[in-house]
Amino acid sequence: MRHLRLTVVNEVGLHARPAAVFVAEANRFASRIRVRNATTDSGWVDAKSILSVLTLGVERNHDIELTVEGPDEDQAAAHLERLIVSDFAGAL
Amino acid sequence: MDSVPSLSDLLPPEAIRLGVRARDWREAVTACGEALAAAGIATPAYTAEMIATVEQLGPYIVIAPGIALAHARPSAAVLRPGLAWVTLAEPVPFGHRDNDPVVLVVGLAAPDSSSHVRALATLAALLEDEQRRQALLAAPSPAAVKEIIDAYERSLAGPAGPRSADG
Repeated sequence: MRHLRLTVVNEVGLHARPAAVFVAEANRFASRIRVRNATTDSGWVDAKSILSVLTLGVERNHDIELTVEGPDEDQAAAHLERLIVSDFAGAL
Repeated sequence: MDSVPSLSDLLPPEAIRLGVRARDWREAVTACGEALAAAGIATPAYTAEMIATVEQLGPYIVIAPGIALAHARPSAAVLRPGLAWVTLAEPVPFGHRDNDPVVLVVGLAAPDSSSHVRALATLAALLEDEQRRQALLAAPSPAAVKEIIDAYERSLAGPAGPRSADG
């Protein structure tokens, strides 16, 4: 299992377009991917469900934690890390 | 932190339309844009921006069974942060594998930053509650929609909540 803690630098946080892109990218992988808002100490939710991701209320500069577990966990973790750290470079 | 709008603050009664007739998802999103414009939240130009977003992001705007969240980038077409609420007389498909067809289109307009993220999180939590979601979809009037939302937000605020009783 891979575990990541990342800061969301996107100016609108993780909702609407960024959330849709994040969830779309998470859905490309077979691994089970969970996410939580560490800044607000939220519970863990399914990173492949946009509604669940929206409930986290991730704003700019919030920290999120991800766990990725499954056959493609290395690729999925690297991909999602790049997406968040690059502020969705080229994906919005 | 002192002026975070509640979900209810962002959804004026004039932006709620029930039983709208739409033949396809474009007409449904257009109805949503008209509701935003009628409430003074966005100009009609925002409608085209929302349609372009659906074309780009596709089915991921369908966030729950029967429910689409229409939105676009923050833009000059947005006059103030707000939401529109449009239910359809006949459900229409948006192309989502699991959550089609759509009966409720929530329109989101945000001029900038993240002040409305919390309201959106509240909306998402509200829609995840199966019973409340069914109640919202069956609400017979805009006032009934507002009442369900208000009741939910009051339940979150609790006795020590930040909101006064003037809502």
